[in-house]
Amino acid sequence: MAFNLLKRLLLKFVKYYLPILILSVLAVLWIYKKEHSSLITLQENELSYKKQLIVELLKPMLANLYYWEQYGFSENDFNPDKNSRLNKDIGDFFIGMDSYSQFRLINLSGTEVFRLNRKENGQIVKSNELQDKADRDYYKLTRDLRKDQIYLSPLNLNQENGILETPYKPMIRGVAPIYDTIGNKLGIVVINFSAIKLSDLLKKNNHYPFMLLDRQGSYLVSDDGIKEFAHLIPNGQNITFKEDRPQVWDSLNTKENKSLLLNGDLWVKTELDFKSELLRTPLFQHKSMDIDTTNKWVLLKHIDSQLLTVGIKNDVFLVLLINVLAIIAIFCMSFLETTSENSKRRYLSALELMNNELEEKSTQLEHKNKALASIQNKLEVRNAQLLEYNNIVAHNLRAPTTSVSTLVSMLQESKDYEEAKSYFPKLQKITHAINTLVDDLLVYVRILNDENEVRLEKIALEPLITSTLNLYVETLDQVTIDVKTDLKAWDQINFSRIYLQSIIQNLISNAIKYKDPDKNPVIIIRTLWEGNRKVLLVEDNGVGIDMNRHGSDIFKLYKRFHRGLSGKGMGLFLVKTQLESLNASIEVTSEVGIGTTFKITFDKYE
Amino acid sequence: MNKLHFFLIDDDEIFQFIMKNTIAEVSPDIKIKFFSDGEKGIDFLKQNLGAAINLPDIILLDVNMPFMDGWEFLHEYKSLQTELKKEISIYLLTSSNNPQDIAKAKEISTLSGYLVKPISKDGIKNLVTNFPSNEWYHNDY
Repeated sequence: MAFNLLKRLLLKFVKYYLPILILSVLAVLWIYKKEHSSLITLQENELSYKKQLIVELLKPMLANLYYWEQYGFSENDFNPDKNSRLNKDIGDFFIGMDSYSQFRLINLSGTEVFRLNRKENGQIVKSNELQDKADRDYYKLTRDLRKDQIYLSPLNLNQENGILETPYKPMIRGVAPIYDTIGNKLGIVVINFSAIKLSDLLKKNNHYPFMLLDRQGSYLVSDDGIKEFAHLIPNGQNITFKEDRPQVWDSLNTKENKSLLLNGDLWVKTELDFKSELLRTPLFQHKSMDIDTTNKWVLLKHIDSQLLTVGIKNDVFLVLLINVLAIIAIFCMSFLETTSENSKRRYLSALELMNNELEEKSTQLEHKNKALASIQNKLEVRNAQLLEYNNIVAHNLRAPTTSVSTLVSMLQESKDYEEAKSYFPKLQKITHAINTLVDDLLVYVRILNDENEVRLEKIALEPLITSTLNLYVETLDQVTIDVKTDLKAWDQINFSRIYLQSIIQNLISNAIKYKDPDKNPVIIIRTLWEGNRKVLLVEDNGVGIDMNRHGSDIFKLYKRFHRGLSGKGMGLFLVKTQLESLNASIEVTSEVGIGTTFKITFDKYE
Repeated sequence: MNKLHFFLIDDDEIFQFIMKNTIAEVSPDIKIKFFSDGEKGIDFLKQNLGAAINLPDIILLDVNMPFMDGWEFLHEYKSLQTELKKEISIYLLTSSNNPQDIAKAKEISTLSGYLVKPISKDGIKNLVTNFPSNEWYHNDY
């Protein structure tokens, strides 16, 4: 019982909670997505801004290089012994250009002809140790730069005499070819542009870790500064982003999307292809530069999974809280509902039980009522019978007994024996009458008390009628009496054989006795059904009875209505009593001169 | 005692015999005629409506008779009463002091009283001496 309750409770709970759960999950997913997209948008914007920044910082470099290309150097300028004028001209310029960290002119052979350095303290120093740069990579790359071509190197660390300058100085080398006024190539100008500012600016105001990577996946700028230029530092750990996070690097390169969600971490990138970005940059006199560079940078933002969730933590927590509250509320509600349902169910089943009981009791009552009604009927009949008995005793017994006493007193007063003798036959007559009466009464009482111990048996009507008629075969011979039977409705009855014989005998005998001498006597015996009761009709066309005068006396004892015909007037009285003892009844209809019909109605089911 | 004329309408032969003797002992002048049932009595009355000489002064009427009992006789008698040329007092005879019968008897206007059987000599004497009476008469029993 309790298990059932629990099961129902759980079902109800699930029914109510499930939608909320689904909604919550959807809500969380939506929060997540929103956070993601907003973050992505933010970071994309930031990266875009940073890209702009880089481009803006690159533009002056281009402008500068172009300037120097157009400067109009002479052959002498490329002769270290003859270019002292450059000290001031370029030196003054150099001071103002704080992005310059080094300015060099290199001749066609690859030897430096002029060099200016910016020292740590900001001082500009002309170096007289002019180096041969012919073997350097960048020389080889740029030696054959055409007119109007500019070269930008990858982000590099500044070297001094072949050794990395410390602290590390990130820079970009810009190279432009120098032609004299006639158009002869003199050499190249190489400017080391400091990228510290760039680096610093890129590292500023980052909510989330920022990285600048080159095409190979090496760190150029990173927030923690440790891994920067690891690919350039000789003894340092050669860690590149590519090696650090190969999966991310591959995904970033293969997928088109600007954002990537991998292992819970969010990566947002923007690509900066120098050539394509700077190609669109117009220069003086609407002339665009032909830039030779291999730089293809990736600006990357990394949002750690934990950081991701931080933003939405509150919201998710709220959803969780709501869920918990909902769970509690729904659980309570379900519990209440279940218990109320339970009590309702119990109440209903109790009601049903009561209903059933009531129905049963009502049926019982009905049965008892029916039984009572039947008993009442029987009592009424019995009452009538006793009344009859009373009447018989009062009227029929008292008369002869009083006569006896009168006669006896008369006897006592008789004068002589002769007179006395005359009284004896009278006394005899009376005593005989009393005896007869008592005998008749006994017959009556026996029927009343069922001392005859009547048994019910199945009786076939046809043979019974036939055997009764045989008793009167002589009479029937003398006078042709037509006896018709119609037993189509029923021909068998459960009754007492003795009584039924007596009854049929009586009725037939009466029909014969009271025949109309002016008519051909006809007796019709018929069966029919009235509802669920069998009915037997005995009709004759005899003299009939005056029902107005004698209707109420037909079944009374010793009542006779036809002078000159034999009989005490007992037959019908006994017939009625016999029938009553087995819950049957008899009625008579008659018309003087027409005939009489006796109708016996048997008890139902018989 | 004047010469009273009795009718006894009763089916009991013995009672007829007894009454005959009893009345004879009271007075030999009293005439009595016997009818064995109500129908016979009525028929006689019908046939002698005008013959006062044949009509009785007193009718003793039994209740319990075949063919026509006392009540039926009284019913028939009522329709004859106006045509009868004599004032007849009818007394109902009953062998039981059945209160129902007695009550019923009192209701009938044609009855002058009732007598419970057996009727003694004194009973007849009383009846005769008090005759005619306007009051309801019954004997002691």
